[in-house]
Amino acid sequence: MKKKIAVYKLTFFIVLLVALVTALYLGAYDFNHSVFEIVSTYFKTKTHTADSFVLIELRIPRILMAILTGAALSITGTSLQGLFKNPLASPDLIGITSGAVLFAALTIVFGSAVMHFLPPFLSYTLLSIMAFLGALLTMWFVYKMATSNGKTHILILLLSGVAISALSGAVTGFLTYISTEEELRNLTFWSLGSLAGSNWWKVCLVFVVVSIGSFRLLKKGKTLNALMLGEKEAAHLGFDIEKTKREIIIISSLMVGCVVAFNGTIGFIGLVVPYILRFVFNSNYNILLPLSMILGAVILLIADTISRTIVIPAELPIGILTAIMGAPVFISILINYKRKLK
Amino acid sequence: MKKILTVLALAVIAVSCNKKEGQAETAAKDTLTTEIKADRIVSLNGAITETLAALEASENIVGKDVTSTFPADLKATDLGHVRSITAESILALQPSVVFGTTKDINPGLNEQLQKANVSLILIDQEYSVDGTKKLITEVASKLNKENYQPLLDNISEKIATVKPYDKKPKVLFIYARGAGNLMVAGKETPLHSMIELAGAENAAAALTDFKPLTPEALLTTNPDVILMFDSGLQSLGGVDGLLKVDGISATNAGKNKKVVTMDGQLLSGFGPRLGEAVVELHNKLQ
Amino acid sequence: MIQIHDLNFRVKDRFLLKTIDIEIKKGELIAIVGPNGAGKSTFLSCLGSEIPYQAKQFSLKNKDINSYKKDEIPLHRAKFSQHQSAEINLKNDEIVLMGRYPYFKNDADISDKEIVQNWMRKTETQHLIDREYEQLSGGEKQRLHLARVFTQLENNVENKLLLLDEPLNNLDVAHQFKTLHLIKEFTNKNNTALVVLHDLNIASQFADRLILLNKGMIELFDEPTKVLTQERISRVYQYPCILHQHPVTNQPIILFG
Repeated sequence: MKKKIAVYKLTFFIVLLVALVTALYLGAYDFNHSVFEIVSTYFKTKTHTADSFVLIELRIPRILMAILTGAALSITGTSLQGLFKNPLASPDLIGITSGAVLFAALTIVFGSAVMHFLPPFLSYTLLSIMAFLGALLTMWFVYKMATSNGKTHILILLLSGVAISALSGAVTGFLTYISTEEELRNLTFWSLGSLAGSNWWKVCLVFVVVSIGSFRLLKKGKTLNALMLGEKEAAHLGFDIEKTKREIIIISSLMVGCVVAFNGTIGFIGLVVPYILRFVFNSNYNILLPLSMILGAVILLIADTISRTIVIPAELPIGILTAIMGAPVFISILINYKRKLK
Repeated sequence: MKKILTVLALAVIAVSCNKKEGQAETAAKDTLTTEIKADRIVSLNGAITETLAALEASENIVGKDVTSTFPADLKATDLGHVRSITAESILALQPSVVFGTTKDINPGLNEQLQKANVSLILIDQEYSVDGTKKLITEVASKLNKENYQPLLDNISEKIATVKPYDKKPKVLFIYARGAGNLMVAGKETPLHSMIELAGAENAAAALTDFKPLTPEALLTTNPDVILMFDSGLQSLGGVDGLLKVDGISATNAGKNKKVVTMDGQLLSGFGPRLGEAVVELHNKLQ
Repeated sequence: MIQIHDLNFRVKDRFLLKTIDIEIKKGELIAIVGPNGAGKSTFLSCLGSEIPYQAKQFSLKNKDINSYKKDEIPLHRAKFSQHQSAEINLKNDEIVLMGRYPYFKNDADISDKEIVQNWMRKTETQHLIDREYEQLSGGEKQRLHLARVFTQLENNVENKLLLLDEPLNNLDVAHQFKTLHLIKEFTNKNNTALVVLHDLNIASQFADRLILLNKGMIELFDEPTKVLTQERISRVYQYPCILHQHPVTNQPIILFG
């Protein structure tokens, strides 16, 4: 069994590497030299040519962002599904994504006065910060609703998340109505998600948040397995259940908030990746958690590469691609669930 | 743990903001001091494209956006909507200068192009006669072209030929993308300015910006003429399709089947053809 | 080994357990009996630190129960609960392996796996390894979780505590007795077991002492022969019964009706 997992890890990793190298060569811009030449020339001369600018400042950060985002969304989706013992759980379900979108909408519509005075890059950073805050505040609110006497009730958490998503949707809808054309375009663009604005600063920040978060989540494999026995049983095995719930929720919100803040909403990954893995590996979280990161990275990287090469010079919004890839899987989850209920 | 992370994150953001500020300043300085080479131009706005063509720079345009429909025979790569263009697609054309408007350009894209040391010229487009003249002047001066005055004169002359109506028609502009998606143009829209320039009255002047079309609004405003883009009317299935929309047939315009269409870019582009557009609109609304 | 003094458990205004005072020795197999709603499961939950009780004292091996660290106590105490998850998406041996989670950080080693194999053999669940958990019968699932709980307490710690809430439900007669023998084996090694049982006769046959609970209070805590009298049992259970003598062991047998 151990060997089998190692083989799968290695295979996924190799697929990731292949996807990465392929992605380096694909895109709207055609290079005049090989990737290796461009990179080594840049390091020698420390100045950018047109080729090296596109490769090093645009394409590579974007590829890295896709990998980090895919990994982050998958591992948080997997952790939340383990925590809630529900195959439909995802960051969207506990309201994190809706909170981020809501705050972004508020910023776009009401902050436009402020934003016009700011230089462009600062206003965009402001948007990202607000989205990040939105995710955290929503998470805090939902968690507080569902927790009393130090105990978190998972069902109330899920329902609060649904309520927040509905509220946020309504407010966002209203904002859409009162917004100007320009603001509306901003908002729509943001909610479809795009990795096109990736740069090294964003990648570094996301890397820090995602690696620290994943590091902690990867250790939760045994706890999530034990939770399948029930909270009381898991406590008997020595796990601090309330602390675990808190940790998973906070880390998930941080990671998803960060990723959504920079790239807009990218759906389905957190839902679909753990589901695919569970078909092969059952719900052994010791295996699911690390593999979900790699598989998520691969899937989002492939989706992003397709999105920017299929309708050159335009781009297909990545949310559409993940939906196309995710919807059939989602439907099969529902069919499977229905079969089990019979 | 969480606190450390938040502090760290904020610190990185703060530092990155400062760093970017520095970069943008130097970039701004660069665009002012360096000379702009006009051999490979990318234009991300229809009015700017038309201006460039009128200034005899069509040969140099290598990339355009989806609104740059005139001149129709322009041999430039269509890069799609400004909002969804990526820096890579633009850079793939090896441009020496990129023109765009401040409102339409994506700030992220803005930043990426500046870092790529591409001369990025952003023009604040105002939807008025003066605004259009300013746009033409700015584009021309950036490219060191001196033959722009005739373009300005052309606009002034054409507009001067527009005589006031005996009876000001009430015009309602409807923006349509299929029957489900209908909007009207209130004030502070390019359409409003065009209607007024043509000497008519905007039936929806009580509203601001584009707002959804409702049967009640149709009846209270009761326009004499309905104005649409060619493509808009087409998407509804022609005049017959328009008349099927709730409330339209109850208006004066509907009863008289007074529907006027014009090419989208011509009507609302506010480029060098502004003069012709105003005259055409004035005549059609009669 | 266990000292409990003045334990109470309250839900709003109702006392489910009242003034429980008890002292349990090492190596004892104690059966907890009583009518429905007497508080048997509640008492076991308190002993398992699952619910917030009030008590003047609850010590295990002369240490206050709360002074044991969260990751330390699984080596000393395990609980078999009445209701188990209906659906666990893991292989059956992995479920039993969870009993070893307190013992390894990332990967189980050979000894852990051997312990799992051993206890699956003893609970006669070894042949179920390749079956799906959801498709197991109630009794098979029960034996699987028993294996897990025993696996958890397989270590060198002295005087461990095993709590079992109705472990014999769903088991056929043969497996009931086999399970009780396993528990007896456990207590013979100087460990303590507290078992909630419904069958008074089985309780009297296997337990060293009985706790008879009634309406949240201890009616009597003593040897089976002393607790099981006709008057007491028919009063507490509110049903007539007669006592008879077991033809072989001479232990009291209760016959209801």
